[in-house]
Amino acid sequence: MADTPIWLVALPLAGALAALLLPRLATAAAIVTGLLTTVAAGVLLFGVATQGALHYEIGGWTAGLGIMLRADGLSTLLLLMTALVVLAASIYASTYFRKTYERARFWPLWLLLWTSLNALLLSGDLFNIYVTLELLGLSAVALASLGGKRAAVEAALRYLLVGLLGSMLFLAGVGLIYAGYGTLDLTVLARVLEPGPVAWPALALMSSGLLLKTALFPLHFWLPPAHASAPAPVSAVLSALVVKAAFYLVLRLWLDVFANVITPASANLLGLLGAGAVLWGSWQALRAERLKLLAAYSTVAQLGYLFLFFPLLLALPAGPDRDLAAGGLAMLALTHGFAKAGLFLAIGIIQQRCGHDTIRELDGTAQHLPATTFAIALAGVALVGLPPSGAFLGKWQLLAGAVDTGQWWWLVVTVAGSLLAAAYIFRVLGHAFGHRPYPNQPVTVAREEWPALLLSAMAALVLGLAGAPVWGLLEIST
Amino acid sequence: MNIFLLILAWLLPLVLVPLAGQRYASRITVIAPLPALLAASMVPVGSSVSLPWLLLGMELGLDDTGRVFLFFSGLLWLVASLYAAGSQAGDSKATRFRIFFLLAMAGNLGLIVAMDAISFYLGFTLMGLAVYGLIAHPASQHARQAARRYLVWTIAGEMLLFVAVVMLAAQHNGIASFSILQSSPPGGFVMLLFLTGFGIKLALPGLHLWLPQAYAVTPIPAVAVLSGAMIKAGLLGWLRFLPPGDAVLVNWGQVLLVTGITGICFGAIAGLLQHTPRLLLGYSSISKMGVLTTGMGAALAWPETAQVMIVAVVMYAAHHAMVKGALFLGLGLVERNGLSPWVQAGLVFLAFALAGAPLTSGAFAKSVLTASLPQGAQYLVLLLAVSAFATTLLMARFLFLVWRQGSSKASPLPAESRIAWLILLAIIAVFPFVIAEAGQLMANAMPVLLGMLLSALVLLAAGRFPVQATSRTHRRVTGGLVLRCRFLTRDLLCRGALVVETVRSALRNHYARVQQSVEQLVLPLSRASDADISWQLAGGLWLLIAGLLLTGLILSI
Amino acid sequence: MNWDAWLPVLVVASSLLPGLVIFFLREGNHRMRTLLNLAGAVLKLVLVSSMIWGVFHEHVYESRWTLAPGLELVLHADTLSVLFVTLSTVLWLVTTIYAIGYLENAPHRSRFFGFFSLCVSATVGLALAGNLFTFVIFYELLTLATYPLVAHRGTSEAVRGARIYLAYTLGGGMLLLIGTVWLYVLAGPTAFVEGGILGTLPADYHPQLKMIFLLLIVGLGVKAALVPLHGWLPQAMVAPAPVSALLHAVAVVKAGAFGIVRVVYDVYGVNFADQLGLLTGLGIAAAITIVYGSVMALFQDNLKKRLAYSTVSQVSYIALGTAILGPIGTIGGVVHLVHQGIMKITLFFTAGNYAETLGIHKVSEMNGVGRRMPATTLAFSIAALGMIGVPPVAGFVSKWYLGLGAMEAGMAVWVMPVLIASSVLNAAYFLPVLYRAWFREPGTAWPAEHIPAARFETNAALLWPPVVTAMLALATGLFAAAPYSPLEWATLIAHREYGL
Repeated sequence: MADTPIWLVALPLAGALAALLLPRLATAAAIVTGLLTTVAAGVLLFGVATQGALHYEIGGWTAGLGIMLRADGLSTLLLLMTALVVLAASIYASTYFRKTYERARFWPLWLLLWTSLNALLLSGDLFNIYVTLELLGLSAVALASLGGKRAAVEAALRYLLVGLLGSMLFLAGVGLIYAGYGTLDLTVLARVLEPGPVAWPALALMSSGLLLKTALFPLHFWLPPAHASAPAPVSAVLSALVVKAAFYLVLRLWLDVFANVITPASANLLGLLGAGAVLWGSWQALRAERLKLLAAYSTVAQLGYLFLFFPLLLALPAGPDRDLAAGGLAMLALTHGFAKAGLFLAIGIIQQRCGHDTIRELDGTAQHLPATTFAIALAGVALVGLPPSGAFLGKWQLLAGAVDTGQWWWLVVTVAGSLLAAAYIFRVLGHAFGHRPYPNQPVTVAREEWPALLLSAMAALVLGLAGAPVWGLLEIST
Repeated sequence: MNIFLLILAWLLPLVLVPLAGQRYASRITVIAPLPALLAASMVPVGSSVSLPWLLLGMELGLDDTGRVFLFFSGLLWLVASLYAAGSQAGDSKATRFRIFFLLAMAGNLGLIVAMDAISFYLGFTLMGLAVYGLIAHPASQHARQAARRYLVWTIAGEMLLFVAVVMLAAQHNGIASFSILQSSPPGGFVMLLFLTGFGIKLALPGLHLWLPQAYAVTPIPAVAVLSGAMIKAGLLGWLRFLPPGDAVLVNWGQVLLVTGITGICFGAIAGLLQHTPRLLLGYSSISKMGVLTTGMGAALAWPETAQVMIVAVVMYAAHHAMVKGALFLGLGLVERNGLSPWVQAGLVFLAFALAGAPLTSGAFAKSVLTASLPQGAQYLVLLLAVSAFATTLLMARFLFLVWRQGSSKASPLPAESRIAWLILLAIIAVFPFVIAEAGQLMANAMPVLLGMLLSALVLLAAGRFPVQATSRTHRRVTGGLVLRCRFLTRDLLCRGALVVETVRSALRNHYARVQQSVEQLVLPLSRASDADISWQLAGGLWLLIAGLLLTGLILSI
Repeated sequence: MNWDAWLPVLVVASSLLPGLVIFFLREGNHRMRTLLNLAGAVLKLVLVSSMIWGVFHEHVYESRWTLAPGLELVLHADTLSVLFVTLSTVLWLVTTIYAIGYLENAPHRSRFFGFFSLCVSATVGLALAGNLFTFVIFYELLTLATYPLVAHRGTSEAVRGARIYLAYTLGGGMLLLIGTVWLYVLAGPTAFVEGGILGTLPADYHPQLKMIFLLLIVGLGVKAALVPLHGWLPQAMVAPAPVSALLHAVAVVKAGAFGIVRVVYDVYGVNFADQLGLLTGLGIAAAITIVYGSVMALFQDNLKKRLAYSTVSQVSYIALGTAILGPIGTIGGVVHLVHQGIMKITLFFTAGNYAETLGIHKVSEMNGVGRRMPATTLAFSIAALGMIGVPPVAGFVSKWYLGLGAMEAGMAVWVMPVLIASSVLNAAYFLPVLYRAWFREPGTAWPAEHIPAARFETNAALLWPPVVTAMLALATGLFAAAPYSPLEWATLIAHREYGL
């Protein structure tokens, strides 16, 4: 049990190597790896839930010298989500990439991405985090460019530059911290960090770098083209997981490590940018002409919601109310992960079956691809934040926090964003329900459609109806 | 048994409704009023039934008033059904006619045995709405107009009554039983509502506008019960809801007296101006309802003699119901079978009866009425005499019109219809001798005689100086006001719609303009595409954010 | 968990599970689909019957499920919820039969019946909701489940109608959500308790409570079609007839009205709401809606549109009854919840019959239809007369109690004129229809005769539902004072609400 964390990193890494060396068996290797890793994530979750936060020292080397992995409630939840999303996307990808050379390029990168994600979520010190962040960025850029078209490559290049810039800024911050405090261990830092000339610029550098990577408005300009031109399973993982990894780091830094340093004004700045993201992202999604662009802008908006929590969490006194709000934040992030992945997979199916993803020409999709349309609808429910999705519970906590702390303006932003989200989702569904004489036989290819449907259902039903344990898990931290 | 008769009185007509399309439906319809008649003769006064699960708790019962009403109404319905069995035989839409006929019958008989306000209202409404079907039955433009006008007035009446009943019930903690409601008189506003609500049914002057046209178009058997039985439901309503004998209501009695006297005069004068027998009979009804209203007013105005007065008024109602019904049935015979001597004789007899000539039911009814007038109201005796005189003139003119109108003999009526009429005639002729004392039958000779004299003179004069009749007079009298009201309403509604539409389109325009300006404002924003963001701009934004972050961290210590 | 805890869940699940299965049925699997639908409906009826008995004998049925700390999904059966559940269950059964007949040869039946069942499940869940949070969840679910039904035909008109419907209801849902969250922050989990729970809060919360009330009522008023939030309703009538029937009689509109009743009685408490001075505003809004809806109905030639505006007007009777302080007004409002449902569903069924059988969509095309389709037209007539408030049809009973309640509460000065104006206007837009149907001569041909008259005037599955509901409308009025009638049940509710 205690060594589960290492499996979570080792298994995908081994899978990546296997896929690289045996291209013919790449798909099978990936699926097997995916299943095993998911089991490992489940076991880890069980362990954390029963025994509390886990620490694992690789090779028995203690902190300071060796690499230490740690898993608390939040990271475990994100690990499990990552596992489920990647597994589902892998199953879908096994039908998406039809040519051998495509597969041979795709699977190793794919599994490498997963490895770096897991490693990032398990890392307990700033330097390891920097390394995994860099690894994650590079593999993500490589995957995004797999589309091969000029637009995809251009967007990927931009993505690369932004990613590198973000990492550099992060590294600069890490350097400052190391110079100032001589340690990079998060737990230690959380105790010793004091507001002052070291912590201030360090936090500003690290945060601004991460904000660039997590595409917070107005630094989101790279995201829509990159996510919209990548292959569908890649888009799913980029939107659902990769940006969220950066967000996870922001969360860790602001709420754990730099908890003594942050101030209401800075938290309000994040909230303000979040509000901008919500409104601007939703507005652009509403205007989008292509489905994938819509989904990408929707990611921008959804990330904005997550940042709205910062001023609330800072204003709420430590206690049950704050825990509730933090749980809401986690719930919103998880729901978005599942929903966005499901949405991108469904869009991929539509794109392949219809040959395009222009929203205006989607009429009749509901007859043509009922299960896929249903997946879009379920994902849409979660994105809008309607019950019984997990996002509903998350937004409930957001609203409750806003009312509780008297910051009613976040309330207005949330509601406006939700309504805009409803508008862009139902614009799609309205076209899908539109009438066009299609041969009346539902095309259902199980391997293609089930992953999207299950991911969406996870977001819209399971998390909402059975999500209460999330709050319990979150109280487990280092 | 008694109980079942009270229930069956209104239930049987309803049960027969689904059979109205059957082949022998016309015969079956005849048995519908029988339980009511049986109940009137067999059920002891004072019996009551309570059906607490029905509607809001239904109470049925029979008192003296109800018994008389049940008797004459049942009789009229029976005769009319029998008559209709013959007269509607060739009608292609006889089923529809029978359905509404039975529904109206159920309503009429039901309201008579009802002993709580809600059941009464139920019967009253059922009857009121079903009559619409009877008036609209002939597929003519006139019938349509008449029916619509009738409906408007009826619904107005129903609404007034609904408010009145609710307010009255609220005075008594929501209990609607008559025994409770009659324990204290209604307040002034409720009183007014009751007077006008039932006044519409009774065709008080001013509220009568539905009546003449309706009488002009309704099929004969239906108009016989309408003018005979159903119109009296208004009177029964007054008797049920406004228990006379309370000093509080004296002033309202005076109001009713004035209204009644106006009705008598107006009905008589307007009737004399008519050119068709049906319209004339209609105005005659208005006049006679004036008599009933006067009687009711007297009962309210002199509480000490109220009980006697009510008996007289009810008797008068019974007399008028049967005679007026018979007159219409006779008129129907003339219209279809021609002026046979027997029919002429019958009509003359009925005309005398209505006028109140000695030895007829009219004389009996009028003498009872005169006898029960209180001390302070002797001037009403004179009024009744004038009424008798006027009625005589009216009847003379009626006979003249019937004689002049003649008939087409297009579709002669079968035996049932004639038998029905004869039965009614026989009962009218015999019943005063059964219940009256000798002196009561000799009243009224003088006014009737005077009336006959004057009529003869007029007839002679008319023979000497023929005048071209204009048939438009009537329309001008009755149609104008209603038409104007209707146009006014329609006009108002249309104008209202126009205003709503104008406001709407103004709003829409305004909205469009706002949208436009918003769009112009947002356009640069919406044109901007994130893909075009240059690296310089991106860098600037990043610097800004990082700087702000730093400032935020530092400043708010 | 024992039976008492399972029963509410089962009541919801008895339509939810068949609905989910139906989604995956092949289009041609007609028999299986019908079987599932009817089995679910009948099972639900049986379950609800046992629930009626239990609640009458003060049995507690409650299921709880924690969604998040402090946020519990509670299904709880009290008198009010049982009233609404029974209405939904009975009318769902009838509507299912009707829909099976109506969609005989239409495409996408699996999709339709799937969402149809979801829609009813959401309604039942909303009826059984034991706190405001649960109510909000099912309220939004109802919005979502209804959208595909409104858009079902897929024409641009249908999609547009559905979009407008969604814009209104989601907007309203957001306001409701804000109000609910606010209330939770102030007062904690707001369980529905007879007599209300907010009366004990300190007085300095009162201004906030007034704001919350406004938010909640506006949020609910969108679905309840209070003017000026009613705009979606006439647009949503593009839906297939069974959907319109359910939408207007049970599901959406009624959910809003039911919510208003819940908020006033079981959250605020009617006496407390009156103390805050909130009832007058609600009453005035209802009064304006009643008159406005009726006036608009006068000008509609499209039959379904006329009926839609009629719904706008009639549903506000419920809000009006809620605004009248005192048990009698409460009875009037609550019982109209049932009565309006039965009458309006009849009207929409018959309108659907005219359209499906003869292609009649407009009032002006209805000349002489009474002779071609007597049973349908009779059902229409009974329901229309009931809407006017003619005894002994159900509508009269509601009107009687509303009037009596207004007298009792001293509000008769403005309630009575509203009731009368509404009745007169109802007569003005329903009676001409009846006149055309029964008394006018039919034209030479019907607009589009789809179903020839054989043994019945139309398909049996289309014919019987309106006839049955019309009889029901008549029976609920005629036997209003009988035990277990809606009126008796409403009286029970009023007694428990006022603690009599």
